[in-house]
Amino acid sequence: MKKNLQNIILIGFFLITLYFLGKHSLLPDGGSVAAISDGLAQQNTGLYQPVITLDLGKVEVRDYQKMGFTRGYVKFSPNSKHLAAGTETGDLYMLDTQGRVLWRKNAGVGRLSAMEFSPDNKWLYVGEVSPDGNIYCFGVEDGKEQWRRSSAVDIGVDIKKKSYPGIMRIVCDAQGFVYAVSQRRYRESDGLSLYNSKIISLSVQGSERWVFPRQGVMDAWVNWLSVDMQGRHLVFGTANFETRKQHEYDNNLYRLDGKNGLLAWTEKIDPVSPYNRTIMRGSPNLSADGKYLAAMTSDGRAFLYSTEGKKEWEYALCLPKEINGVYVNAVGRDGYVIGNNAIFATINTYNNANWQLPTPVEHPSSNSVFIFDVQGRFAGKWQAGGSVEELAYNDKLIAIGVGRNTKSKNAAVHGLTIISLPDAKLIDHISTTGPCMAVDISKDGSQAACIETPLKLDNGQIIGRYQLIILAKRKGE
Amino acid sequence: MYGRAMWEATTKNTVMHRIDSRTKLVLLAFLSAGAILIDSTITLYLLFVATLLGHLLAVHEINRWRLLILLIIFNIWGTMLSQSIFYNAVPKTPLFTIMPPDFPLLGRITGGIYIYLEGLAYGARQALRSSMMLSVGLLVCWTTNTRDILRSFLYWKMPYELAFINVTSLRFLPDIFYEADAVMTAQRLRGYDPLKSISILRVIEVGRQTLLPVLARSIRRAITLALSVESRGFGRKQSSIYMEEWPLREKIFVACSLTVLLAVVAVKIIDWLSFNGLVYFTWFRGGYDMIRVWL
Repeated sequence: MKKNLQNIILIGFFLITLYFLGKHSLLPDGGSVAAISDGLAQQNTGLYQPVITLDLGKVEVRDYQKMGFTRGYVKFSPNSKHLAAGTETGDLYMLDTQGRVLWRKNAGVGRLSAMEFSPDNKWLYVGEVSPDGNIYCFGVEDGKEQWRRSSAVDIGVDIKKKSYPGIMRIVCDAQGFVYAVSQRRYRESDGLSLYNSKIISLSVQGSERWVFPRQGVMDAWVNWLSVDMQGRHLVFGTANFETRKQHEYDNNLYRLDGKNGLLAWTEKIDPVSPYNRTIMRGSPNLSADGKYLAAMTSDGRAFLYSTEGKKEWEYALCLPKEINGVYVNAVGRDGYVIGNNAIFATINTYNNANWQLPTPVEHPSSNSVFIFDVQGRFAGKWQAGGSVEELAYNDKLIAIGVGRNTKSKNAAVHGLTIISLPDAKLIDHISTTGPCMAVDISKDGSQAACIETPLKLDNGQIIGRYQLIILAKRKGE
Repeated sequence: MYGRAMWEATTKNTVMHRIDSRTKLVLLAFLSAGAILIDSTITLYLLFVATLLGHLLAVHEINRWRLLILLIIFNIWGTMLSQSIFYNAVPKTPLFTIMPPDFPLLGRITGGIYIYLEGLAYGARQALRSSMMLSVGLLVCWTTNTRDILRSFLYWKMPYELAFINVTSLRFLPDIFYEADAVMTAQRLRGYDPLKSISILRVIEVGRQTLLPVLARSIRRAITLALSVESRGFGRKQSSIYMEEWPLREKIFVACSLTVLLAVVAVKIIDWLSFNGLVYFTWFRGGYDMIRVWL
């Protein structure tokens, strides 16, 4: 009897072991959807209610020590009927508005780097960093791959040094033409860290319309571009960190003719002390009608240009300040033109001499969103409390993904903040435990989505999860 | 402890017993190679479960199941726990703390002891590898007569001496377990408790007191065996060994398995060349992606 009981316990324990091993091995990491019935963490106004979470699987947990952080991608389709989410581990999810996962893919040896819906809601364009550096076109409904195009032919690949091409940003115009920027980083034997970049324009069928430059590559760091709705103008900026080399593409702003990829004009923006380079990372961006472009330099200056290249105005929003012999700077990153307004955003405070060193104080203009009208009149400012990781917008609202504050290390600031346009009044703030690294808001404002990521605190505690949170606006509001 | 018969093959009329010994040995070799080649947890798990199904088909007695389960459980949890504590790669995510860094003395020396999530996953993969080999090894051992194994080796033209050594080592493995059991029983009858303490010195002393008699008896048996086989003319020219026809179905199955193994080796080489920056085939992109998941 006793032996039988022992055997039953042993077999039971063995089956449990097999079950957990099977669960760990066979079930895909992440992908479980959960409905939220009683809200998520504390909310400010409760206008937006979290309704669905999607577990995005396991990811490396990062801390405050590094500037880079866990990434994620989230995007509503133009008709707001689908939501695409991409993870750092290469998983790509397509969901409907009820939160059902319609299909799921993995980038395999690639790493996701960009995502965009076609304006007719039929296709999802996805960029990756891999030895091929492909841009993929998937059917939104079934996830079937329609075509792919490698950027390795444009900017090369060095397998030996693991220098892979990647599609860093994809945008579409109203006709459905696709514009993408490909980039590859490589290191020379003398330690110089250099970049190859190229702009590619493709038709809906994936055939090449034009590339810029037509011959060769740009010897510049380009990870951003923007087109107007009609596809008449395309703009991009550069961020050449390497100061030991004279770059051929050394200017900061470039505008191309969207129809043929020919250079229309270019502008060099002089650096401000103590910097010796002007860098743009999340801008420039064109207005939908193509009249203006907003640009933000990492040294904290905000610019509005006409598409013809005339500088309309310039503001120093968060210039470097010298405190106790240390230059501190709130890094400027985003610049958008939305309707009649220009929006600019800053992230954390950094020590100019070495971004890893602590700063004596937090820059007063750090982690903020600034709103002006196109005439340059100040309209509003919102201090997010943590790094403005991503901005998404529609005609009336701006959604802000609030991430780490590397100075105060206050985890209470994390979350999705929605403010009004143009007066920057708080509409709602949905707290997340971990930093909120990606956001989007639907065209009609009825839904919002964000990606929360885990964070390791200085005491070793891990907070937050890698998950997608879908929010719905309260009915009747 | 388990008796000597526990480690020997049984004579039954099950599917696993009926399969030709050559087929089983080839599968054992393939699965051993697969355990080394394959990194995917999914595939390792599926292969491991397949070996367990083989045991189900062999219809073992409860004692054999008990032994198999005990060995696998100790192997899996032992490997996972040790890897989760000593995991040294990055990233590593602490699941919980065994000893905080501010624990007096030891905490400061070790910098804290944690159970790491990635270590558990890595340990699970390693445990699946070794459990799969353990499971398939026992399956062959329990369903195949050592005489048939020797014949199979000779059928493949293995030198007689080498085949004899292989089979002898397999044949006497149960004896070693049995003798270790006998030594420990003798120790207990004299009032000695080998597991009274877990101090390092005690473990070394118990090991010496247990293994020395086992070693002495093994040497004695080896001398007896050597004299025995020499007196029967070991090493003279052997006449051909009779073996039943290798069933065609099993031959086809083995050929298919060999093809799969060779394909796995080929794609792993292609992946290795790419991973080490030697050559990347754009046309093989689907294959690279497949390897990440399944191999």
